[in-house]
Amino acid sequence: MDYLVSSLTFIAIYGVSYGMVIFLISIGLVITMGLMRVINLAHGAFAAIGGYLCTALVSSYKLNFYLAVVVATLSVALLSLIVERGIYRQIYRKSELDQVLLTIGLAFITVASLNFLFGPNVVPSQLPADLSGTVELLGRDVQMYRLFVVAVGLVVVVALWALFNWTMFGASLRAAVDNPSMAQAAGIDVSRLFTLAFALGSGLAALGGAVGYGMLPLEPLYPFKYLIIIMIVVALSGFGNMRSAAAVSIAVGVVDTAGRYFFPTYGAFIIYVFVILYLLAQIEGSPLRRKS
Amino acid sequence: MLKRFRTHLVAGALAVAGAMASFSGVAAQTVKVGVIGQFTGPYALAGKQLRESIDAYVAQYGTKSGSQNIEFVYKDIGGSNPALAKSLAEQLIVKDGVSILTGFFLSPEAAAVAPVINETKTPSVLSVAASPPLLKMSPWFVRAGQNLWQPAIIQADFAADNGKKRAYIAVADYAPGHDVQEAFTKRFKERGGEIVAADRIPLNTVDFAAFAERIANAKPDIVATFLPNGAPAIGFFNALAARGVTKSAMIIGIAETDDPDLPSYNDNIIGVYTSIFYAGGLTNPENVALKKVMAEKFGANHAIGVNNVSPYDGIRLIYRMVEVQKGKFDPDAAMTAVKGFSWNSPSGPKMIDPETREMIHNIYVRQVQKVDGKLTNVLVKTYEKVGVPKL
Repeated sequence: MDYLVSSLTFIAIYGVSYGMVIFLISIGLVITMGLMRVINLAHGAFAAIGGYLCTALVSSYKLNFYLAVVVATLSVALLSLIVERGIYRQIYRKSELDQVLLTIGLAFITVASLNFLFGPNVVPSQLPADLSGTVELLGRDVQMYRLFVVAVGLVVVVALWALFNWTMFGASLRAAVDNPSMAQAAGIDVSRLFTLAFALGSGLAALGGAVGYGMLPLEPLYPFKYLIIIMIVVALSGFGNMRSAAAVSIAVGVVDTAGRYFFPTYGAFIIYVFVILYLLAQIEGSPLRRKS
Repeated sequence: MLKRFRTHLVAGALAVAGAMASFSGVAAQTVKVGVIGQFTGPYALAGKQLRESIDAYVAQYGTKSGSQNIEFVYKDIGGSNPALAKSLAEQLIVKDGVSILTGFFLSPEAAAVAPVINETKTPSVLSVAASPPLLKMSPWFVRAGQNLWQPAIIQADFAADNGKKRAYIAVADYAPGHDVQEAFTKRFKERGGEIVAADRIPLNTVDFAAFAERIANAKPDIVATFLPNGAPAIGFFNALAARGVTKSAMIIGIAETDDPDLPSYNDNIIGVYTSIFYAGGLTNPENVALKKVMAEKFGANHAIGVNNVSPYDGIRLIYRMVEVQKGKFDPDAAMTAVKGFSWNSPSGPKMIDPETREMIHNIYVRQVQKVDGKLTNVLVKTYEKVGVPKL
């Protein structure tokens, strides 16, 4: 019984915190893919740049960690504005193949640049002292860092929810996701909306990269290494469905953690079984689909 | 059918090349050495270290051994690609006319090349590849580095020597991890220990918290591990420290805290042991000289890794093979010259076992400690003249 309780609390705490990091690095792609229908395989690159920038600020410029996270997030959002105007704008109306080729090329360029600038090794994570400590929760020691990640994730979920539901920006965004030409006809500047949404998504990825680097170590191959998990969240959430993205990310985090905990060797595959079952349940006429 | 045709073609080409070589035999005073390395791609660091070691050796001892010159011909694999390794070996032997091969970072590369060198009788020095069964695949292989069983057995011996009884094995789920698990399990049980559990960790694991949790719950007094260097090892040791396992048990790995990798870790790594054939702090004259030449050529901050040291020893073996040559390259004489050969290397006294062509050498147990504010592998215990046992 003790074993069961301790296992469940472990899975709850670690699964949710892992899910939150996944949520942060994926939500941007859920938004931009839903809105612009651009298959942006370079999304992970923004998370990597955010993480690298944050560590560089902390280790080389002795900046406070929390401040470094904010600076890194804003800088990457700014950078993505330029990239969107300069590069992504060209491929909105192109075929999926063109989009995939261009964005995967961008990811390769990022990998090579990170390798050149920071070397091929993993960047050591230097969490501030107050996050390295542990705190007692549900009868076990939990690293403060895990709770910090969960808190950041919750703040982002609430902020996004408020943004999408209570602001004009959110209303226009939802309109443009559902029907871009109709939104344009109704006087919404969809092009400007695209740019802002892209910057928002990239900034959130950078936040995820910066906050999550205690869990997802920074290395030049980061943009590819975490692409699969980002894609899983996007596929399960559905285009532009930001509300389900949070739930899906946490489910992915919990299932993955539980799988590894109970079946260490084969646990890595359990997440794929989960994905298959979940997607089957979405297909019209599938026996797994709930009758509505 | 096609395959057989291809084999004939290769054999024919080799025969022609051999005939040409024998005609020019009198004039040839240069032995060409083919280097098959990971110069680009995910293992580019190892390729860089291989090249550094060759450059350092040449800087120290020149390009002449005995009466003959040595010339290196480099080929890049650029990732895990055994088929390419095989075709590069064929190219090097047939087209470039090399007499000796070296390189071989990943064991599958060496395994793929074995049939080629068996046909062409090309002595081949394994600079890093550590898979135990490799040397049985070709009588032309000789190992310059370690057989993975050696450090794994010392992991078990060191744990038992320190009175540890309950071992948890956590290795990456790939062939080298399985080799370590097998050797450690056998030796630790022989020494009266108990294996409380063994986990094979999938290579794509990102969050290691679940494994740390399993290990903590099992309450072992020693954790034996072997994970690829870089992100997996760092993530794993961070998770162990966060769960308090680093304090409650002895952690012993193999190559994870290699000197060049050490700056990637934070203080969570302090206290972790590793068992391997080199320690940067060795004060023998050969190591002092190697450090000096490496610092001169590659900067004062250059850290020598195990993947520098075994390729360097590999070059020593190649110079030995060339030293005994008189006129035309004689592969049998080359192999005879290295069997039973012993010398002092930067990593201590070395000898090639004449029977198995495995290295008999020291295995060092090192512990990561903070010395003068810097993470350092401190030599804790030396196990001398470790050969390869029959498991």
